[in-house]
This record gives sequence, C-alpha cells and structure tokens, in this order.
Amino acid sequence: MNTRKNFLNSWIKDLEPQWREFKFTIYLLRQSPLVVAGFIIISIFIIAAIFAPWIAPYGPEERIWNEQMQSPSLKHLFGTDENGGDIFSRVIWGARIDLLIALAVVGSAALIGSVIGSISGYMGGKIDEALMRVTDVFLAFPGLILAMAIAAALGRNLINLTIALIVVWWPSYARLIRGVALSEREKLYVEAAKAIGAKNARIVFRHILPNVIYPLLVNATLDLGSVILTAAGLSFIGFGAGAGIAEWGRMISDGRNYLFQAPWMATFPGLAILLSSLALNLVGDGLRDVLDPRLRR
Amino acid sequence: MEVNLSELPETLLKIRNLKTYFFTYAGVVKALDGINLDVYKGETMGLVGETGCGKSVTSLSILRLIQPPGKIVEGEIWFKEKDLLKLTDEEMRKIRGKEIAMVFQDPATYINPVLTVGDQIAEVIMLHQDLKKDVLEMKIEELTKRLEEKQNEKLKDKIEELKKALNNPPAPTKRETKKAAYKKAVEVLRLVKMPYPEKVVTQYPHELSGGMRQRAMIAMALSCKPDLFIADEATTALDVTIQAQILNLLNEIKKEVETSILIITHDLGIVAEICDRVAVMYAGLIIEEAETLSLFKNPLHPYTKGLLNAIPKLHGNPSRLKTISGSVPNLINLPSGCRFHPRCEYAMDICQKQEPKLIEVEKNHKVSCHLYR
Amino acid sequence: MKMRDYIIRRLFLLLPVLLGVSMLTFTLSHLVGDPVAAYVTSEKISEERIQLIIKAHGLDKPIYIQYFYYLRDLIRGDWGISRSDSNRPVVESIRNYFPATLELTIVAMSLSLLMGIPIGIISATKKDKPVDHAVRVFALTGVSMPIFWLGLLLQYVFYYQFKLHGLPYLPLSQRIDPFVAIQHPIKQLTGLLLLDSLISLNPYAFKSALEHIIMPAFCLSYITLALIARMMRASMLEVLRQDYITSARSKGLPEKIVIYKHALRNAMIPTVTVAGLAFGGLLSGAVLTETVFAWPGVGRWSTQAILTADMGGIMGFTLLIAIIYVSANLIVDVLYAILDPRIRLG
Repeated sequence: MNTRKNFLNSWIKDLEPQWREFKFTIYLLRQSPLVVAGFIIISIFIIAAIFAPWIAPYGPEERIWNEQMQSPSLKHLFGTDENGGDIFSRVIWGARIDLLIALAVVGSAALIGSVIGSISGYMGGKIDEALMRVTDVFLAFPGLILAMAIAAALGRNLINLTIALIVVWWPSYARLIRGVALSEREKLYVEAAKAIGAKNARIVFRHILPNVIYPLLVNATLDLGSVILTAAGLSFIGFGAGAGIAEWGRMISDGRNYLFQAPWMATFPGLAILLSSLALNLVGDGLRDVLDPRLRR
Repeated sequence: MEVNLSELPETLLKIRNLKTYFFTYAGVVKALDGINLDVYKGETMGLVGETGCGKSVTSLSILRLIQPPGKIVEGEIWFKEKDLLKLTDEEMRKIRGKEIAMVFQDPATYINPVLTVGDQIAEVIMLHQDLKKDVLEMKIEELTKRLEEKQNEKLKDKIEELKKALNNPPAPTKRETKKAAYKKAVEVLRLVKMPYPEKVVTQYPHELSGGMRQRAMIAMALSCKPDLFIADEATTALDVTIQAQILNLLNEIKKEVETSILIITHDLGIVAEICDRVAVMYAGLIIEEAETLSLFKNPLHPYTKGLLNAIPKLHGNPSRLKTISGSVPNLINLPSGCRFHPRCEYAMDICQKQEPKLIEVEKNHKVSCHLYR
Repeated sequence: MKMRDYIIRRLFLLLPVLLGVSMLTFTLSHLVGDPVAAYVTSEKISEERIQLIIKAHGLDKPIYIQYFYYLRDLIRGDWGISRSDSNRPVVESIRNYFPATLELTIVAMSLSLLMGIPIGIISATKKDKPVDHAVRVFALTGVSMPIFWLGLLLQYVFYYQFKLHGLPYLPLSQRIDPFVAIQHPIKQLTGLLLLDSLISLNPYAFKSALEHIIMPAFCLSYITLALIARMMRASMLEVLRQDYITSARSKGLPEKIVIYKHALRNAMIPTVTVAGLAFGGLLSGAVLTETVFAWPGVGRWSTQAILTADMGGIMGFTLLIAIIYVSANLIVDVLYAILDPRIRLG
C-alpha cells in the first residue's frame, strides 16, 4: 500500500542532513595523507581479490614440478613453494579468502550485535540485564582462545572458523550499540516520536539506527584488520584452512618448514597480512579522528 | 590600605608596549597590542576588563608562560631593574614562584589532583629556598623537646654542638630537607588561615572545599614570599561569602609577607573593595589607569563610564539597565583608530582615524581617548 | 580509606567471581562433551572402571549436585587428566607449563612497559618532530602485526642470518640450552628460570635462559608495546594541556619535574587501564608465540589439547585462563587506586 512507500520516502528525506554530513566526512578524510594511503592500499587488495582469476598468473593450487623452491624472479615474482606453487598468485588468491572471511565476520557480527544491542538498550530492564551478562561471559575470554575452542568443537575448516569468529566478535558490537541506544533513548526526540504515537520498532529503525552508523563504521573498519590477524593466526596453528589451501596464515605455516631455505614462502603472505591490516587500521584511525566531534571543524 | 602617593613610590613592575599575539589558522589574534602598566611597591593594583579582553594573557606574559601558538612579539617588562623578556629561560625560571607568583582562577583544575597539598607547597619551598638552617633548627627543636622529657647530659651537649653550628650549618640530607619544607608548608597554611593545617598537608585536593583549595593555591604562591603576587580571577569560581574572606585574607597578608598584589578581575566590586589603583583594559589595550577612588568618582573613558553606569543601583529611581551597545570586537579584525569607537556615544571623526595615546589628564589619572587632549 | 582496606575489599569481591568462573567451566564441560572424558586417560579401560569414576565424581547424580562434586574436586586439586600431555593430571600439567608462560608474559609485559612508556613520553614532548612521526608509524605497525610472522622473521634474522655470518646468534627455541641445564643445574624454586638462576647465583644458567627468552618475549611484547606507546602519547598530550601544568610551570619548576612528576602520574592512569586490557591480548599472543618458538608453556599445551580433543586439558586450561584474567583485573584495579587517590577515597 502507499504507507510502505511513504515510509521509505520519508525515511530517505529524514536522512538528507546526514547525507551532507557524510559528504563532509569524506572531504575531511581526503585531507590526511595517511588515510588516503591506507585507502589506496586496501583498495588494491580488494581489487586483487575480486579480479584474482584474471590477475593471478597461476592458479591457487597449481603445481609446477620443476620449479619448486625457487627464489623470487621475473617469472615468479614472489618465488615458489615446495610444490612449485607460485607464491605471488597464491597471495592474490589468498586475499580472496582472508578478505572475504573478514567481511563475513564483521558484517555478521555487526548485524547480530547491532540488533541485539539495540533491543537490549532500548528495552532496558530484565532483557537488558540478561543480554549484558551473556556478553560479559563472552568478553571475559581472550578472543583468539575462545575462537580456538569453538573452531575445534565445530571442526577445523574455514567455514567453521568464520562462524567461530562471528561468535567471538558480536558481543563487542552489542555493547557498543547498546550504549548508543541507551543514550539516544533518553533524548527528547524519541519522547516526541512516542508522543505522536510511533511504535517502538519504528523508533528503533528510523531514529536510533542512523545515529549509530558512524561509531559502528569506525569499529567495523578497525575490526576488519583484527579479524584478518586472528583468522590468519588460527589458520597458522591449524584451526582454519586445511593443508595446501592458499590462505595467508596457512601459507606461513607451510613456509615455516622451509624458513631457512626458502624464506620467501613465509615472508610474502605475512607481508600481505601486515599491509592489509595496516591499511585498514589507517583508515579506521582516520575515520575515528574525523568523527570525533571535538576535532570536526 | 592607603598608599601615600604624594611621594612617588618605587615602581616594582613596569610594562612598556607589550604585544602578545596568537598565530592561529583563523588569523593573528592580537591579544595584547602594546599595553603599558605600572605596579608600585606595596600597593594592590587592579586590572579590570571584560572576558576576552586580554587580562589573563597579561599575567601569563609577565611570567612568560605563553605557549604556542602565542608569542610575545614586542615590548619590555621591567621588574627590579631587569627586563624579563631578555632573560634566559633558566633565569626566568628562578623568578617564577620566588619573586613573582601567581594564583589562578579555578582551584579545581589548577591544582594537581594526584599530589598532596603538602607536596605541592613543599616543592616550591624546596626549589627556591635554602633550608640548611631550617633543618638545623628543626633538629635542635626536636632534641630540646626530648630533653624536657628526659634529662640527659649527652643530649645537652648535642644541642650545644648544633647551636654552635648555626652559623655554618652542614648540608642536610634529602629527607631532612623535605621534613623542614613540610614544616614550613604548615606554617604557610596557617598564614592563609587554613583550618587544621597539619592535616591538610597530607590531604589531596579533592578532599578540600573550594575555599580551602583556593587558600592552598595562595599558600603555594606565597610560600617564598614573592615581591609580586598576581591573582588572576582568583575568586571568580568561589561563593560570594568565601570570596569576601579570601579578599580580606589577601589584604592582611600583604603586609605580613611584604608583597605587592596585582589583581586581575572583571568584577568592579572587587576593585572597589581592595584595590589602591586600577587599570581598565579593552580589546588588548589599557584605556584608563587611576587611583580607585578617582576612577569611581570621575571615570574619564566612555567605556569606563559605560561600565559604571551598567551597575544596577539599589537606590534612586528604578529605570532600565544601561548597557554599552554593540559587542566586543574580534581581536583578529580590529576597528580602525580607537577600538571603542563603534560603540562609543561620544565618537568623533578622529576616533575612526587615529588611535589615541595613554596620557595623564589629571594627577595620577591616565586615559587614552580623543576627548581629552 | 587506606590502601590496605581497599585491597582487602577487592580480594573479597574476588571470591564470588571465581565461583562464577567455576560455574562457567562446569556448564561448558557439560555442553561441549561428555564430562567423564576429563577424568579418563587415553588407554582403554573397562566398563567397571568407568562406572567407578562416574561414582567417584558424582556424575550419576542430578546436575545441581554434580556441581558441588565439581567444586569439591577443584578445591581438592583434582582437575582431571590431560590426555594430550602423557596422561598427566591436569594440575601437574599446569604446574609444569604455567611457570614458563608466566615468565614469558612477565618479561614481555615488562618490555612493553619499560620501552613503551618512555617512547610515548618522548613522542608527546617532541610532538610533530621526526621522532614523533616515527613513533606513530611504529605504533600503527604494532597493532597490525601478525605476531607469528614476526616471530619467524626474528628467527630468520637473529638465528639463521647471524649464524650464517658468524655473528653471535640467539637460540631458536626452548627455554634453556640442554647442556647448560645439565652442567649447571638450576634449583627449581619458582619455576621462573631467570629468577631461580639469579637466586641460586648461577650465571651460566641465567645467561642461557636470558638468551632463550629474549626473542619470544620481544615478539610477544610487540603489540602491547605499540598500544602502550600510543596510549601514553595520547594521554600525555591530554595532560600537558591541563591547567595544573600551567600552575606547576608558574611555580618555576624545571620542565623535567613538570613532566615527570606532575604530568606523568596523571598520564599513567589511562595507560594502566590499557595495559591491563592488553593482558588478554598477551594471553592470546602467548599461544601463537609459544608455538613458533616451541616454548613449553600453557599456550602450546592448550593448542595440543584442543587439537586432540583432550577434555581434561581443555577444561583445565579454560579455568586457568579465567582465573588469570580475573586476577589481572584485580591487579590493574589496585594499581589504579595507587595512582589515583580519588579512587581509593571514594
């Protein structure tokens, strides 16, 4: 019916000033060279991941018997491993896996956490208490160790690794969103909306969520970097990618066996982890500085 | 409180053409644009002006505590035969806290919350004073007390020995120096009428009330008996009753400590209460300087007149409050000529073109205005 | 309130938290698998023996009674058997491996603090100069660094390359040179090799232990080092803008005292919080570092336990981690109270 279309239209109109703020944010971000550098680097990774089949000279598990353990050369930019696999290509293929995992984890965790956090913060009372106790339990454990336990319980493969990481990461988003929801709930415009009869769900979606976007974005960007590190770390000790898969952490683990003879095997995947994580942290930090109300204008 | 001005007293502080600018992204803020100020020995001088006219910048400039992007670009500050602006950092440091001391506006934020009150007073004492003799006297006192309890020949001899060394006291240990400094801190707290000074010395700032904290700050400043004591809005953050107490305190100790006071405030009431002389500041310049009584009886500058007129009166016919029209100028874009002319009732043509100079119009009454030539 | 009272009060609060932790591990052991597995070795045993074990640990009783049996066992020191660790009792495994991890963590934390705090201070006092920029870049790489990769890098350079070029090199793994351990045996007092060799005046053992711990400790400390330096810089900058710093300067105090007496104590407060929070990261990092350097600590033990589904080991490790975490929080709180008098008097 018309009401649904009107809802969407009015929602978009409500967000107009926020659109302007958004454009101003982009402008401020462009000012910092570090942020720009980070953005460029991560974009390179993303492009490499998406266009891997066209960019990578060799396949991810392509073995070339005769060219094993070669040091970097023009033919194999990053050298080859013990099976003759081209490290350069494998790093590019690996970008697909690690970046995808990071996106999946942060996306899901943010979504789940946001919903739970919004409900918890807005409803308050017993529901809030109960949910917060649950997040406390999760946050009581160091992330890697908890993920390790969960991944082990589910079975050691990449999908379960992703699930384990989602379980580890959602509580911090729930906490974050709950905090925002709590403070927004007290604000007068919510009372005003209630006074004209808006239902709770509408208030949550139309008023609270948009205000939540910015801190969420900052955390998400920074977490992307952390997830890449954790996922690679878990794969390294054997909880994620299985043998032979072109995933950065796994490649380092494989390269460890030939560390002295063929150091390039472990070096380049590690560099990839470092650079992608660094780029994400640069952008995240830049975002955080820009969104700090004291520093704006 | 009355200083006999018929004999010209010694000038303790002479500021000439002081310019302090702040170089910001928005432009150059000319906080002080060539001020001249005199403070005589033994008097209480007031510096009045609205918020933002540059009063605090003046006091910070005297102590050379201006941090970037601010900078003292020009001028002379003569204090006891020396131009403070020409001293090295090290020499200036020796003067701070010892010869010129300052008390700030908000005792909540201007005292370090993680150090005890005693610590913060004692550190000034230990820094600027030679406590060799005090340590010795302290030891003598302790031993004498013990002597009263127990009659002991050895103690008596020890005391005599120490007493003889009073003329050339030995170098004390760090611990002894600290003890002596703390003792002195207690004395200073007693001087500023702090209740239970021995206890306060061990307490942290947040355990004290606002008034007590301000007394503590005053104690810190007075601990080394400075020649010039600057009170920068020292009572603004306090209740009116406490304010009165603090002002009285300042008056009393002025004589005891033999210091001169420069009071910076926006409150004409305070000026009337304890200042011998007063200078009025507007937009980075001194526009009038006179004895307090003369200023209140016969304000010369239109701004001063406006300020005094704006004070609501309890007697006489109730009428609308008089205000000064317009607002304080932007210190980056100042009006041409006399800075006050856009708001002045008596503005003439020349006021727009030429900046008036500070000239003595009556005895000891200077003003910078084209009305008086 | 005095410091002593504050500490006692916090210790009392520790008990219910520990109780909660035990409830957590109890629930976990029942959710994840068969609780009997924790008490059984890897050998095949008869049905009767299994029944005996079940009876001994009350596993045939209703669940809420089981919990009390569980508590009793914990207090008695029976935490189960660690199949992955040659069927040793879990407590024994912990006693064996924990000192190694503790020593590694302590040294790493010390490195982070000893290097991170001064770096942060210098970066703040020389803001925007080249030193500051270098520190900021370093801090950024710190939080983006995969530690296991760093460990491998360190091994490659300081062991392999140094050895190759005839330079004195650092050892690849283990806590101490086995030859030194035999010729100059260390008295096992605390299990912390550095401490024990110092106490028993054994310079050879000390040197060897030191050589072995440097790389893994530095590797482990890297991230925390960067975090602390960053926090220290930020909070120093914040503190130096405060009014009481102007006050301190107006007293004529030399700039060194202004920074190290007046500013530092205030700036340390948020840094201590960060350091405490980073502790969890240290535990995670220990798992990775111990794997790379074959360090015989609980991190490596836990990895083995999880990989081989060693129930006793997993539960024991979980409980241990929780206890460590809680204790670390307590220590941070106490440190906080020492630094900020406003907290203990409230």
